[in-house]
Amino acid sequence: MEEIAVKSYLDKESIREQEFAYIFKTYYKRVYNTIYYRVQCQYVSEDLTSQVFEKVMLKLHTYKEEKAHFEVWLFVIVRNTVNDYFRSQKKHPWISLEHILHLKSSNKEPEAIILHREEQDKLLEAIKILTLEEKNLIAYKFGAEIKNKEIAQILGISESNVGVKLYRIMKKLKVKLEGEGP
Amino acid sequence: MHKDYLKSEVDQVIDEDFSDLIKQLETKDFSGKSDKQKVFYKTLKNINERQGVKKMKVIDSVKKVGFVAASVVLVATIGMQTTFAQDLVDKIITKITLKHVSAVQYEASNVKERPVPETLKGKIFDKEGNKVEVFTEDLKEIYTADGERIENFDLDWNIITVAQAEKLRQESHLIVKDEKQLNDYTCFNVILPAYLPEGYVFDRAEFYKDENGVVKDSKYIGLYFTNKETDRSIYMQQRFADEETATELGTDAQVEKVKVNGEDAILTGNRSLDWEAYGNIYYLAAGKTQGGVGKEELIKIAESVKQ
Repeated sequence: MEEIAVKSYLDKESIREQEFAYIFKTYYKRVYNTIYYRVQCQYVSEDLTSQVFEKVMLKLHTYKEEKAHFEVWLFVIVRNTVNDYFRSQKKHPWISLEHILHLKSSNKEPEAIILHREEQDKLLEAIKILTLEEKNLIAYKFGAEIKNKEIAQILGISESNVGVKLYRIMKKLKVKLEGEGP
Repeated sequence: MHKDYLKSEVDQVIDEDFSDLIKQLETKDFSGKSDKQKVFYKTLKNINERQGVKKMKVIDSVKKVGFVAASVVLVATIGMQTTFAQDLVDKIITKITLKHVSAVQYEASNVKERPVPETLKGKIFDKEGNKVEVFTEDLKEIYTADGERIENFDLDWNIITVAQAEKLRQESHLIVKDEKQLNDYTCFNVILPAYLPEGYVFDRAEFYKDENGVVKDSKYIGLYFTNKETDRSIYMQQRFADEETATELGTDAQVEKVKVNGEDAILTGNRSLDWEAYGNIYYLAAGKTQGGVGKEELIKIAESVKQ
């Protein structure tokens, strides 16, 4: 018990790390899911999620509360990171070494692979037919779980447009899912 | 107003027309399959590398206990220059460098409070038993519903109580109470300070166990000096100075250059001191509370560490 005084002091010193832990724990799921909707690969999603949090921590001091809601600021970083990734994929379409190593190290049993494939469910398959903008809307609506108003700010379209487009996307997905259903 | 009304109407229509699909999408969580811990430590390591910050020193701090499994990753290597480093330049206020130790004072973050995550709401309380809704800087102690003090939270915001953390700490540390035995465990000569403020005596030493659970030729020793009457303590760490034990500390507390026996030393927040002598690195920290050990006393203790 007598250590407490010293410990709370040490806590203060690594305040940046505390801040990182807080932000990571709070937003990991939403950041990861947003990215996953776009890239649909665990390893790439993990990698990009890590990149996002790294950028967030390194740029945190530039965040101004009065300018934007923190979540908007955060998901703009997500948007840019994903866009950068697809841009670099275009330039260097080969798979990164790390990616291959990961695939190898996670060698799964055949059944596991089949099960895994089945879990790549119909919904995700259906999402693949969507346009880039439509995928983004799904990612921010259901991955990031943010309001239409914030989605509008991130994607640079009007708020009412977000609603209209979401309606259209739902219709598209429903048709696709029912059309291929049993 | 008009727009808001329209928006909510649109959302409602979507909910009604596609309720099944919406439900599916809302409950999808791809992150469950991901390796959250790996991503956390990889990111932490990258951040530290980009800042050139080595973290070994604070390994004693409570936070590590929560993340026991991968604590090895925290030993980051120094000095990777990247484009991101540029972003940090305007944020640095002071930087003081010794041979193996340096300290950087950053601009304080302007975020003073953060909301308690949903999963913890109603589960954590302050000293008086009030529900904690926001984490603030002043909030020093948090308790469970049963009044158990909380030390930290793991990556999924699970509560780690002080008692649980203490157990983990005991498993990862060797505690030695006899001051004559200290040199049996280290690869360097441990020197106890000849001077301690009134009332303080040596309490114990702590060593990190290696992966086999033993301590041999350790480069680190943690020393605790306590004042039984006031229940306060002074912490001193001594380490063999080399690449591995070098640290760069990032803090938003004030960083100041002072002298210990005529050599440069780093005083941080008037509460801790880093200096180097005899091929070793020394770190001394006193409690933050009022009436604790101040700057002059810290320097006096430091100057009494003599071969």
